[in-house]
Amino acid sequence: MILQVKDLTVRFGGLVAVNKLSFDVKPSTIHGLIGPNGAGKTTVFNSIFKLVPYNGNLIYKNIDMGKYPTHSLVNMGISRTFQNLSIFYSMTVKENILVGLHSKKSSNLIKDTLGYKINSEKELLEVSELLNILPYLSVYAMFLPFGILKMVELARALISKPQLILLDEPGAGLNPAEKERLKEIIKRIKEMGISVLMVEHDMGIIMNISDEITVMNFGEKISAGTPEMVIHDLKVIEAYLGEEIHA
Amino acid sequence: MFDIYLTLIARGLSTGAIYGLTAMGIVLIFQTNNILNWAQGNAGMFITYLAFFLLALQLPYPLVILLAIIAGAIMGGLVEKYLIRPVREKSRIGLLMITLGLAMVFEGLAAFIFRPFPRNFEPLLKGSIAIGPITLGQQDVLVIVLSTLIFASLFLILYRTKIGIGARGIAEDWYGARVLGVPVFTISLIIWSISFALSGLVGILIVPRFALEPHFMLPIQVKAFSAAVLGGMNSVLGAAVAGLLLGVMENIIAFHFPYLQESFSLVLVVIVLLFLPTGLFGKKTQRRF
Repeated sequence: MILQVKDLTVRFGGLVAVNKLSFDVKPSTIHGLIGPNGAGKTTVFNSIFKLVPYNGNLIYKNIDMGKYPTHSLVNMGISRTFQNLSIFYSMTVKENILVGLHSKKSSNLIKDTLGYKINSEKELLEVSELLNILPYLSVYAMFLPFGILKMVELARALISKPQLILLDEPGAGLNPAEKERLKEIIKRIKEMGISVLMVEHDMGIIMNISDEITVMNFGEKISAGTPEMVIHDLKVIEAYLGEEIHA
Repeated sequence: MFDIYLTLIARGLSTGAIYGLTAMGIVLIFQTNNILNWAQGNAGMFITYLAFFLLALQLPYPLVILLAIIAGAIMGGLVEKYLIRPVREKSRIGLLMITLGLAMVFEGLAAFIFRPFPRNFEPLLKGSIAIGPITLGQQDVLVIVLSTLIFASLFLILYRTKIGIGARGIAEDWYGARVLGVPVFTISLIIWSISFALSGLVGILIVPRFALEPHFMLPIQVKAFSAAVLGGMNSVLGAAVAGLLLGVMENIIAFHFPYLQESFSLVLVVIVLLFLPTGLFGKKTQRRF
């Protein structure tokens, strides 16, 4: 397993946001994490990145992640995107993406200051081509539309060559054409050997590309299995306002 | 008359460089920690006292400046690690109170340890030089040259180096940068060290114009705040330019209306903010903490 979540519990005061949640992410698979609003999905992501205190165990490639600070996780091979865009708007797209390489690249303060280029052009071009943002590299992020910024954020998470990437609602705010393209990109990421743990509300995306799905409601796991299995699970249907899920 | 204005502008550039350097320290800390550092001026005052006693030990002046910069960097690092870091993600008001308290602690300690009476602090360079029609103190020239070098270096570091790009990332999204692998606390420590080192340098360069006593940096702190707001609290370039602008305009105002010199900077800030709420170079950003 690339990631094992064991008895994860997160409390915010008296509220139990995640309650004894356990699931595994297999290598080179797309694992969906779904559930109604407030189910605790993003809190799971925030726990993995130690942005919230938690109980339980988070094991990445047999290493207990609890011992490592947030900024070291990228070096270990984990990266993520955010539900709400986390873009550095006053930077160019290129600079935004380079921040994703911070922990991977050594640098020499004096050489860099004098104009020495950080040797990362190859990675930059690769990831920019994959996500179709090559023409925007020198454009300031504040001038770009939402759909492109989503790709910039994804590029920033991919440039560090992660082994596990956490995508928090990558399809939110995208138009149908962009969503189709996103599905292809996520499949391509999987083909590159990267495991994907994805939170997504758009069932058309998640049911289509996930290998396995864990369903949460009120902080607890209510179902797990292949998309075919969970889509017909009565507990899941009930959680989604009693309506059948349409993939 | 024209010659007088040229001299006023040149001397204003020297004063403005001091404002700009202090404002840069304030802006750097504001960007990375989202707090106003009220202790920026008094940290410089305290370091200047240390320099005064090092000079009394007959150490060479340039070495004393270097030691003062190092002392400032160490002080800034200690403040970040032991006072700011534990509170950084918990209480914004707490952080503000820490910097305010720190300013008072520096002042109290200086008065207690070094005694509060004014002392004469000799400049590194005495005498003046004439550049065409402009007559300028050698110390003023030193201030302008040093400040230009520091402005340029800081700008290059922020825009070309890994640490600089990381610091700019932190300025916009602390948690986002952290998740991307930026060691936010280490960079914050570096920024506090740079800011306090700058404050020490500013103190030593400017104190010969006044006298060394626990309040001598107060007007510099106020003007630097004005410059930081005027330039835009999220623009290091803005802080430098606004500092220079303020120094020059203030010098010209003081020539014609001496009583308005002290209040001028604040009036200018209010007028500019009425029309440009984010300052001359500030950008509207969606900051996440």
